[in-house]
Amino acid sequence: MSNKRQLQKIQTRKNIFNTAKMMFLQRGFIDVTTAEIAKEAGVAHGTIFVHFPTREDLVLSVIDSEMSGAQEHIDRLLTHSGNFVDLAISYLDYLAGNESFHALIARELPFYKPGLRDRIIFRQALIQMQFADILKHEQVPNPTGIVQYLFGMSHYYLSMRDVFNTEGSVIERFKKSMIDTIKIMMGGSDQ
Amino acid sequence: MKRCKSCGKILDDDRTYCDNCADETGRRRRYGEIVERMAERMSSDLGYSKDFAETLTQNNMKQLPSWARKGDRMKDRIIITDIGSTTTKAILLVRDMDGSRMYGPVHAPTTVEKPFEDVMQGVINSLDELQKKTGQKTLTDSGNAIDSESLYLTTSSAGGGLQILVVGLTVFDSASSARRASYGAGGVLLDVFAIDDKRSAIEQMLAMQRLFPDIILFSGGIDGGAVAGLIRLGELLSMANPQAKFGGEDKVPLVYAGNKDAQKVMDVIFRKGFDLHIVPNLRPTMTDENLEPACEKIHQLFMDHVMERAPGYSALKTIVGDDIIPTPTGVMKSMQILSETLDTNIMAVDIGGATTDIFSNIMGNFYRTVSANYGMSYSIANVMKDATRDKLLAMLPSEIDGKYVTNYIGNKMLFPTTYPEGTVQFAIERAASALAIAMSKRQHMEMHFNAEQIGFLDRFKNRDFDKFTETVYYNQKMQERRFHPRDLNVMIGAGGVIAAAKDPKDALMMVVDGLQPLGITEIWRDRHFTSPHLGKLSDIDEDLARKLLLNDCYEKLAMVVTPMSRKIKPGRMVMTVQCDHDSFTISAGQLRYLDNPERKTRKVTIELEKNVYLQDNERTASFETDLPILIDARFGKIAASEVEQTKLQPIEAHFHNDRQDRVVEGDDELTIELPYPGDILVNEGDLVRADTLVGEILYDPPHIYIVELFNVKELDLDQHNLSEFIQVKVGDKVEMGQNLIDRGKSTFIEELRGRVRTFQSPVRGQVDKINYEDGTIVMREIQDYSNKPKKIDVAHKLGVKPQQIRAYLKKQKGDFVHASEVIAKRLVDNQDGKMPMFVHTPTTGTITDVDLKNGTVTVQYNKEPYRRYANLTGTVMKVIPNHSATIRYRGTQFDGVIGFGGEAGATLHWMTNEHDFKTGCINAYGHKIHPQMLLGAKKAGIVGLIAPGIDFDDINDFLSQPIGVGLTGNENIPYPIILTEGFGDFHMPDELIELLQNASDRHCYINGMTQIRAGVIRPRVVVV
Repeated sequence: MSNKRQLQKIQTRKNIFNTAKMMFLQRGFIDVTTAEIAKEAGVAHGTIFVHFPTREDLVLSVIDSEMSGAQEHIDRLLTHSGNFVDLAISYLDYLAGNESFHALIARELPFYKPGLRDRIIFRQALIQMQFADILKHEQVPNPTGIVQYLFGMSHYYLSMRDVFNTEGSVIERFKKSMIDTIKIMMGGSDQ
Repeated sequence: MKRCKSCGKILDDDRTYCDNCADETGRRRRYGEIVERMAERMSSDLGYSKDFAETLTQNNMKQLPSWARKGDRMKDRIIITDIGSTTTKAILLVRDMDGSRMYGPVHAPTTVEKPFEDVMQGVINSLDELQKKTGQKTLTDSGNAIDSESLYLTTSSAGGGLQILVVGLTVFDSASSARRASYGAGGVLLDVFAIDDKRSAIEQMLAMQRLFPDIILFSGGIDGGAVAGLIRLGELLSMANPQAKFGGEDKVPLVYAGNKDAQKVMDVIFRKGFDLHIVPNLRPTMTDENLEPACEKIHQLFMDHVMERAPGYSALKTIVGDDIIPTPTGVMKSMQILSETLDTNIMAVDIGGATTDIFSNIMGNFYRTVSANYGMSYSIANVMKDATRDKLLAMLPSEIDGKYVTNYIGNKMLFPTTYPEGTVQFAIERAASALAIAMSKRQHMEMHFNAEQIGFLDRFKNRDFDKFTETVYYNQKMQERRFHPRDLNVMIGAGGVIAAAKDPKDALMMVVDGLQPLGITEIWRDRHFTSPHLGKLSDIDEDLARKLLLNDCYEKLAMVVTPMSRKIKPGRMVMTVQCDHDSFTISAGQLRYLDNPERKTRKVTIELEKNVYLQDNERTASFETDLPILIDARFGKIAASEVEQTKLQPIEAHFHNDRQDRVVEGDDELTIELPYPGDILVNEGDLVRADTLVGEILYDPPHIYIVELFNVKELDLDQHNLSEFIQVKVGDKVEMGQNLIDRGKSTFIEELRGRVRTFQSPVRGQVDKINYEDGTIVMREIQDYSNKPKKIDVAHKLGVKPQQIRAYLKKQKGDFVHASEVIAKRLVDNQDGKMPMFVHTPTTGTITDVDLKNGTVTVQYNKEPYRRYANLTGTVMKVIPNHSATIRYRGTQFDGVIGFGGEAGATLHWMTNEHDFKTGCINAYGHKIHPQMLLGAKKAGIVGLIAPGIDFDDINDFLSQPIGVGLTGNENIPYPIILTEGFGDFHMPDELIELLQNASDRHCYINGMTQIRAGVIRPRVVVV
């Protein structure tokens, strides 16, 4: 009996999570209310807070699950190849593959409440610092500038995605020019 | 792949921590050190500002799942506290090979209020107590921090939960919807204001200032309805400018959920002084209710702002091993686990001193309501008021004198920490608790089940189905939601009075009479109310939480069998019960308790008579239980309880003001505050006397007018060209009809198209603000009202005979009208059909006369100004212009226990007998006062009355409204009354007699304002 209940609980959580994820990705993280999610998922409003103590937790766990994809991807790269340029290419490939989500974050980030915004920035900062570590390891002259260029530029293209592209991936479109610039910035043998 | 246990960074070797998080020897660095290093890197590598990087890291370290504290979860020792509004309760759990042990709970006062203002202090105190009591280590050796070998978790409702002030248009509609929204968000209602709440504007504003809400919910009007009333309430609220409880500099969050047409105006009114959030109307039409957006917003604001504001909360956040959750969320998690494990529906009640919470977990969904004003001490008088005195007395043996009961209730409110003594006092508390629980349960059911049903039907009606689908679909849906109160199989009681009951049977009866189970129900009590703690624990270790919940947390009181029937005559046989080898019958009206001290398992079989039910339609029921059994065949008719001994403990000996040295001599300060900006007529350094006028407000709060220019389409204005054409600036006095906009001469074509070039002010006022972005001008009414009567020749203006004007008048004698308001209207025929003719009043005031002979209406401003006198002699120390003055005085003073009516200052007169009233004086009497004396005092024209006591019933009669919650001082009575001891036959203590007798003929100041709540204010008597 308890087992069935447990399963049901996991099921409910999954249901809330998936409904929320779908609604967030469709309409953004700011607009969707937990009441709407509850309604869509067919659970009582209070039930959401049993599984996710605050709305922020729900938002964050959706963001986390999306970003953990990135993290794993990068982790794999970090352990398999120490080459920054390959890493940057894979990172951009990953962004291109999940562009809707990352464009959404890029557009909405400044408008999130400070708590949520900071939590996302912190997660991004951890990834960026790992990139910087690789550059330092490779003893490239200006690691900070290169990391900022890679993340700054991709963020810029993502946030203004519809300015550059009406369809298809904006990152895909600019990937080559970004990588070329990074190579120039790194100087040395990769050119 | 291996990661740093501290920051989640990838490691390429076998270390536990990365370079950043570990020192040279591989040990983890201190928290602060890691933050600093991390911030340093973010600033150098990523270019973040150092300050931001530091806060960012700090705020995230404890939230990031991969941070070190995750390791703490495996610790063997877990300390959990629940920081309540008055008490902090701590438990310690020790996990080891043989399972786990729970120590505690122990209690310590919560230190959220002055003088501590730091919740940490109460936490440390409670842990110190726990350490002393159990010998288990909970603190560091120095005793001022939590033992680092333990995982620390907490829930919190410090600050008394979410306190909401509701403003709605009318008490009946909007305010009741807003009330439901507040309950739905788990809030405690401080007060409800509405246009028709029978208070004057000044009384409302004074009350708004006295409350310190966490959140204000403003609602009212249906979409598209009138906005004038809303604007008026908005003005009052914005002028009263209530402050947040732990606000400091922060603005109070205000959720506007009213008529959507007023949203823009509300934005203009509240943008500056409040943290405004606009959500969809919670009552968009007369028949619809849309509470969710408002509930959601309130809940979100509470999580984001209010909890964080409790003093010391931010420090607390840095030491907890996991998120801090609100106390009710902790309870909810516990109930969830119970409900899942037992596979049943549960209802629980937590009855406190001020509030009663009802929780239920029904078919997997969790519900909660807080009945803010039902409780066993602070709110006990309100329980009696709402349940009625008669109903309370009916639950007690008739030998007990009603006056004794009501005096007990009144005094319990005055002395909330006094415990009952003797069988009679226990019986009173038991009856009051049952009533409080029953009323709270009713609110809970109405809130969640009625509302949901209505909402469901509305949604259903809006679908377009054919008849057949409708019937099938509807039945199906109803089936899914089918829930009958008898399906609640476990009911749990918690809270002071239930936990404190020494005889478990008393606790049982409180829960049974309060929650009124149906069918077969197990009744438990949560003796120490540890369900919040265990709910929090379930985040870390659900199995342990479940084990403790099932085995340690609850005391199982009884199995209750409550038959149901549509019609049953008293005395008719209801059922035959076979309990092990005993067999007996039960008839209607009986209540039978089968004790089971040895907790033997007994088999019970019940055979029901015709028309009597327990579950569905089955005629028999059987179960096994090792609990005592209660068979309750009273069918809701709760008879007077039996009391073994009806000897009355004297009330006066039981409740007493135990403060020593009540009389204080020396300098003190009195701040005289105006409810909204007016004139302060004294200067710093001035000497004032009792009759010095300190502050004055001549008129009611001024009206605010909002002119929306962008709405006038013909003007063709926008945010770019507005500044070019606007004719007024901030501070200007604008007459009605004066041009606000002038676009210069229009062209011929523009004239043809009907384009307007000018716009005249529809009102007279002073320009407060011009918003160029949204095209609004905010004007404040100019209050140069004349006291002279103004005659308006209505008959002449309408062109009718004098005696006919009555048919056209829109206002009546006694109505208050504002300048330019329409007072009469007539429809006249012309070639285009009917045309209205209006008569406006040129001046503001009350209609003092309607003269049918001459056809005139007289308007005169005759409202008394609001005045505040010094009422005592002293020196003005501080003046906040237009707002307040603080007076330092020298005198002898003491506090009473409760007062009624406002303040007064006059010569003191000591009464030698009960007829010895002296006109124009504050009279003091040494003994209990009675109704004849109150009338005599009124006839004698006294200014104030000081006495030791009065019967609770008598003062309620005199106030014409029974006392509910302990917030007094605004009663409308002929003179203020200060009680020095309490309700009943009290005598004044010698100390006070000596003071007042000797001070006869000296000047005396009294203030009846009393607040018996967190932040107690007692009435004051000063002799100068």
